[in-house]
Amino acid sequence: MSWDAYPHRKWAAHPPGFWIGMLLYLGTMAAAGWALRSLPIAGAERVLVGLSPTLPLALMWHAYLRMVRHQDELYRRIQLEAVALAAGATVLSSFTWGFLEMFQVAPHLNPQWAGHMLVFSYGIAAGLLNQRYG
Amino acid sequence: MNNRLREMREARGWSQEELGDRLGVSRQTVISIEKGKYDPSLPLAFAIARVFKARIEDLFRPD
Repeated sequence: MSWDAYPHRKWAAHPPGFWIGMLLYLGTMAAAGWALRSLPIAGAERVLVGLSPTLPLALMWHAYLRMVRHQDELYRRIQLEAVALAAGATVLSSFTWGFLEMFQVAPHLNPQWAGHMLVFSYGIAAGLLNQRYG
Repeated sequence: MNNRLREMREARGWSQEELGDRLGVSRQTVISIEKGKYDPSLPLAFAIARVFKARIEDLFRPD
């Protein structure tokens, strides 16, 4: 990169793909939940309907990656630190809970809690880091 | 690292938003650099120097 061509950021916020993915995720979650409860769906079709909300999640992930790549260096630093903090907290928590389950001193939980914790702790970390660098 | 970014920007009558637009970074990044909370990368430091038509060492000083 030449010194007089610092890359220009393209977006100031989440790109449209992220919000479209969010809307599709909420829509497919509601639709899949209703369909699995109310319609006589079985076998492979039941699996496909049950997995349908993961496609919009993949769209949101793709949009998030594009956004990070098109932002400036401070934004990317904040994102990296937030993801590192969230990933560390999630790995530590999930392993701790896994050991407790193995020793039969804690009940079995739906493993999706780790994904929820990752997103939640990322949000908190990103907010705190934005204040720190603000 | 100490810097004279705010002084140089105000001398030209530019807002933080305007300087951010000239550099291709967010207003938050300009604020963070001015407050000394964030040290820019070498490419961004060169871009800042170019915008102010100054040398990097005229803008940034080690603590």
